[in-house]
Amino acid sequence: MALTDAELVKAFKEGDAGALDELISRYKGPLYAYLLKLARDSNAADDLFQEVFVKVIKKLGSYGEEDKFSAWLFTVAHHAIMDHFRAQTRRREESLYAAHGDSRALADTLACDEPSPAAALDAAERAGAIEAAFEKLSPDQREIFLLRHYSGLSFREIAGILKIPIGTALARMSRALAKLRGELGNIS
Amino acid sequence: MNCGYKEKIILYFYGELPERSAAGIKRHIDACASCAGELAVLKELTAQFEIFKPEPPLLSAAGQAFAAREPGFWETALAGFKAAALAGAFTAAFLLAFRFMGAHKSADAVWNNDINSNLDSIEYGIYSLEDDMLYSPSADFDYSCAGIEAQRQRIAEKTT
Ligand SMILES: [Zn+2]
Repeated sequence: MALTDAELVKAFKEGDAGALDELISRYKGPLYAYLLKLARDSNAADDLFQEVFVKVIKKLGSYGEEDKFSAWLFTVAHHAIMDHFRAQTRRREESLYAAHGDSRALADTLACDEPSPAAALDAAERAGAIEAAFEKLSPDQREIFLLRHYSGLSFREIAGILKIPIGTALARMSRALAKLRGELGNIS
Repeated sequence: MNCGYKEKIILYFYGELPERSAAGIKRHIDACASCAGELAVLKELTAQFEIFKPEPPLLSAAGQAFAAREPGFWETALAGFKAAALAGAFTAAFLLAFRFMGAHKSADAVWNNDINSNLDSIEYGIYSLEDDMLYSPSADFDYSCAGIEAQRQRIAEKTT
């Protein structure tokens, strides 16, 4: 039977270096995808990925085994990416605006292709339209979906990570879906 | 306009609602185009993200060495690692670092004492090795790799 996350942390603290490998391999895929989809920049995502695991290794000593490891990991990741956004805004506000403008133009091209109804788009075009519509969401809206999708945590737990009431988390998700539906049109 | 079911549809999709409320939700979805549309979007988005599996980068030796340099890391980890040393392990940090360099085959020395005093030189070695990998021809890299390995051997001899 596979060890639980908490058992792996305990094993690591007791000297089983392989337990850390197992813990990392469990979460590196979802964590990286979350960071990449949120940061939208693979260099930044790579750096954040390193940073999160370094912090996790450093702080394992203070991780209480009664806490859920995945919630703790995604809390560290959430703080890392918020710091990244803040630093990014400070450093290069102008180029960020430029990049945002570009992606918006692309999304508009894909989403406002009025003559062809949604059903007529082939799969690749449809995937591109979903991607573009997703890109149009606010960072908050993208994050709530990404957290729920990649962490596997409940909305109650995610609300805890984001330090918001669960009603706010669900309302944010609901607004994201309404916006996506508006962009994509009805799906038959 | 909100029919009052929007949040429930989301919880329903993710299996966060009790079984007994599922039937009511299904009935509502059949009757409410707005909720049905949003559920369809959520399904489609989820399916698309299911197949998005980017390859995470390797954890870098520099990152691991950085972790090792932080105050508190060794205090936390070393107690455990002393036990691990019996099994031939270094530390997770160095296992990862040496694996990154492809030198894990020989990472079987037993460390117990004086590990802290030797950290800086190894750490510096890893940093410069990464630099070499980025900027130097492979011969230099092999040379550095051999250098690190020799250094590691010396430290292992000193500490066992
Ligand atoms: Zn409804």
